[in-house]
Amino acid sequence: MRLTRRGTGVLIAAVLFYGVGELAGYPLLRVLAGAAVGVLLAGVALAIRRPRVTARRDVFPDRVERGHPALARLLVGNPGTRREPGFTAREHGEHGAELAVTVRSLPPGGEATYHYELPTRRRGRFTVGPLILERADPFGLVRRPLPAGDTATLWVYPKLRPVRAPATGHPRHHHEGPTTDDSLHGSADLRDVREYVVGDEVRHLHWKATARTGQLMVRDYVDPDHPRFTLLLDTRSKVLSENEFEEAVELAASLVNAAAVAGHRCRLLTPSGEDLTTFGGAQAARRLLDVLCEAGQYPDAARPMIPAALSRKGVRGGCLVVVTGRAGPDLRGLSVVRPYFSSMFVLGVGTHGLGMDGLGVHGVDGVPHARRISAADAAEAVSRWNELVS
Amino acid sequence: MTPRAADAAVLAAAAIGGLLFAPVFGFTALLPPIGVAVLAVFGVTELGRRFPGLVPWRPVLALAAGLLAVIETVLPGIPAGETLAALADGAVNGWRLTLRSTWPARPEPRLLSFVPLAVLLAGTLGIELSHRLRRPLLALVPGLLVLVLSQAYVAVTGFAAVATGIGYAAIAGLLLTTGRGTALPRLLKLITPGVVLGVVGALALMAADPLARPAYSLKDDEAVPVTEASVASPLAEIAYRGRNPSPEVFRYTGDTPASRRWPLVVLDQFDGSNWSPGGGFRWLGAEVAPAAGIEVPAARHQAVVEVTGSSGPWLPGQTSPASATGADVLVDEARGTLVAGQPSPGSRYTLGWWEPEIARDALVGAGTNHRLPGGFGGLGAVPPSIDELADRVLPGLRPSFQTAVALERYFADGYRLATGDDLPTGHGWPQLRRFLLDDKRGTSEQFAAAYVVLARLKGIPARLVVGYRAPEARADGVHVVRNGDIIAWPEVAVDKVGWVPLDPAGAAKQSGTAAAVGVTAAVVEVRTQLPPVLENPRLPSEESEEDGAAGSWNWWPTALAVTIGLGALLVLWSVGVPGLTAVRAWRRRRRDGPAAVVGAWAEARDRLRAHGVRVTTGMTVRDLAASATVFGEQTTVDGLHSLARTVDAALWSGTAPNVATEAWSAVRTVRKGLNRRPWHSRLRAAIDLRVLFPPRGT
Repeated sequence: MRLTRRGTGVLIAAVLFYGVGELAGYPLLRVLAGAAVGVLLAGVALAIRRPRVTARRDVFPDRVERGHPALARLLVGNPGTRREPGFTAREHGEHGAELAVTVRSLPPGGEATYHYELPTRRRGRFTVGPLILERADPFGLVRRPLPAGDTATLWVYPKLRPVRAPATGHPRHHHEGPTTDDSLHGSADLRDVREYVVGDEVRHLHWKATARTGQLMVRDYVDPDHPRFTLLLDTRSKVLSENEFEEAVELAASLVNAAAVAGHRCRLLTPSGEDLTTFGGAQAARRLLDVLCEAGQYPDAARPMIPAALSRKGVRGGCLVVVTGRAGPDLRGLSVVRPYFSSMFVLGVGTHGLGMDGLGVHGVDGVPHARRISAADAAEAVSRWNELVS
Repeated sequence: MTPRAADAAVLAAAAIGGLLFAPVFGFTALLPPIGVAVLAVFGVTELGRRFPGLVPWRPVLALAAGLLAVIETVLPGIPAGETLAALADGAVNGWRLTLRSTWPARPEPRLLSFVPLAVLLAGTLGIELSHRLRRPLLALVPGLLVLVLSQAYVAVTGFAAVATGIGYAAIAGLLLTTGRGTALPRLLKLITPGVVLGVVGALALMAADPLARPAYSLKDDEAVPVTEASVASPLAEIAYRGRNPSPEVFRYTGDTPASRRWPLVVLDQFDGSNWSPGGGFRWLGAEVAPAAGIEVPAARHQAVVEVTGSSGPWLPGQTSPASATGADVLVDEARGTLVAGQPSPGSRYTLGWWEPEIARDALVGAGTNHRLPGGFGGLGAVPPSIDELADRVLPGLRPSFQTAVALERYFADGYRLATGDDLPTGHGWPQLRRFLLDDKRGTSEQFAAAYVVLARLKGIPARLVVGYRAPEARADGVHVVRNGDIIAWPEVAVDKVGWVPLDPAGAAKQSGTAAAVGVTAAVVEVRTQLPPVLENPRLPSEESEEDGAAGSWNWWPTALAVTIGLGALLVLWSVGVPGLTAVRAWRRRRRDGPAAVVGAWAEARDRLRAHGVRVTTGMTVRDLAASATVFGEQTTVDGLHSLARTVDAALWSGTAPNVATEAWSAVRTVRKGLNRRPWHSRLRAAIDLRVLFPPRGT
């Protein structure tokens, strides 16, 4: 049982009014004080009985894109033998948002289910609850909270936009020679022997099969390694404002999700030290999105843009995508890692994205063949990406 | 409740504070400016809702519109510099001028305008607090300050205080329930305990008044400063005026007072040598109620008075003045003394006054009133010989009006009124001692002063008044009052009648021959009935009872009436609902054919509704049977199934079987099952009001 701030105010006013009314002889103030005390007592009488109910709250789905509905289901039951008057179930949602459900009165043995929507306006991992059952008076003066049930976690992912997965692999045998120093020399998996079509490598003709079938047959070699996708999200707070960073995370999530679902081996890096390597698939996408869900900006300005992990050994090769903002001269450092990747994209998100402030990626020396996209927000960046990648 | 209603509540709370100034200015004078100002603020708030761009300017606009509204209602006409100056003067000085006037004050702009301006400020501030801070309780604070200010002027008491307080609390409660999104029926159910306990608490704390202090008013500390430096006491002028009788002092047309006297000044303070008036003066407002002490019906009289001679700052008035129009007049409310606001020799004013209307024998056996101020205004150092005289004149007599008249008779019989040129003067102890013990000859000055000191020594509240006799009218109806008409006389405070003038010198008798009326007639009656030797009069039997209850509102009859009313309502409810249900069942059973079966179905349905089963209009009997299983009473369910069969037979078989008896026996089975429920459920079902109305559609 506790007085709300309003209740405390009313109590103080009542004491004050009675004191002044009594000392100065003003009956009207005493009447007001009496009415206030009466309403407070009525509030206490209403709130004094704790709700004797069983309550369970589930949240589903527990991972949801920003803006998509997440529902909480509240199951209340009255195990007692008396009718249980109505009460309010209350809990905290994201960033202190108050969620309240008015539970109607329950007959003995009765059960009721209530659904309410959890707000998913912002990205992040949120703790929903703990659920609090409380009886309050209609004037909001007195309440008696009763914690019931545990907390639940709601992951609000960044919004995912439809993105084409990049079609780049990790060629171990490049006609220009080895691009990575960890490639196995001479390895190429024979996947099939098929009929020759014009344009096939003549060196791959399978003469024995040709002799047997009487048709030109050719060996079909496939790169044994999976296609690879590496994404570097620039989390330094100096390059992106808060809103721009949300757009950048949204873009990064869309890209990495598309790549992971398409089966690419994915690696997610940030300057603040996050480094997650996954195989492709839905499970991998979930792990990556969990990381991106909690990603925040890193205030340390002196931190280099390119994490040391990217320079060392690890999953490299394939496609490197850098999602950044007003990175400036830091981008030159990418030239160091450029040789390890077959293709490289630099995506700038922000109202003054790359190019607009004169620091275009193309102009940076030592980053050959990096393609750049500069867009004001994630939607524009995704549409430009889809044009570029097709 | 909508935000619009919340705005209305904030403004209504502010307006209530302003309207509580009604005893000061009158309700009709306050309602237009306050009402229009509040409506203007509400209009601007609505405008802000319609055009959100105006919201930053809302307080400015509201104040401007409200100011215009106040100007147009208080100072009608086109607003000009003068109007604004008058309004500013009212805002700055109005509160003090109001405190220096009698109430109800004249509803003049310079007095009244501070109230609507305060309401306007409170309303605007409240609206801004409510809209910007979203704290409804805080939005009420400016209005509350106006309310407290109104109480500091004049406190509401008794029933009005309870009604106003509960009304104000209701407005605050409405404001607190806004924006919670609770449906109205549920909200009503939830706030009922708050309303009941709030009313009970209000009545309880209203009655809980252990200190029982009188209401403090700012008015108590305020009076018009009157310079008394060069004022000669009219008492000292009696001898002089008696020697120069012919100059005219004032003239009047209209009613002649029943006492046939025009009091000029009341002198109730005596320090042994001088008699002086006490008390503070106020501007005479619109109307003054009958003076304190007059508890009998009072009639209003009126006369036009024109002061032609010199009477100092004092103006001829009456014991209980009601109004004075035509000149600025200050009044001492406790004594009725009038003083000119600005010294002007030829002031002319219409004086209204109150006179107690009493029967001829009303003063016979009347007691004295010790509570009236000024009755015991000091005696200085009383010479022992005077003390002895007082005991000799009224030996062992208790103070009463009869005793006072006996004292008057003592003076009339034993003392001579001085006439001619050699008139004694003085009214201090030495002069009084000489008059009482040695000379036994004096003017009305000595008679009155000696009477007052002897009366006070014997415990009779008395005061000294100087004024003029009312002479006979001339042929044109004008009464001309001259120097020679000046007299002094004592007045005695009498229970329920107030101050009653006596005439120990017999000086007033010379004024005309008209038949005595009113108080004078009653005094004459007491004089004629006065026995030669006085005994202590019988004490009025009910005197002791009145002491405690005087002035405070008696709660018990009201509380008793409320309790009886509530009890009667409770009895009516607990007896009426089962009675009506029984009558309805009887009428249903008496119907013919299928209608009786339908009646049986309706009866069973209503019985189950009373027990809390949800019933809608579309339900069949079998639906109801399914719903009724929640009770776990198989008898009820069986009864309903058997009722269903009879209903089917009666309505759908096409023949017209006589199944009414079976149907009603099924109803009995249903009721038998319901009777096994716990007693409190059955009690609740028996007095459920909702069953008297048909079920709702959903």
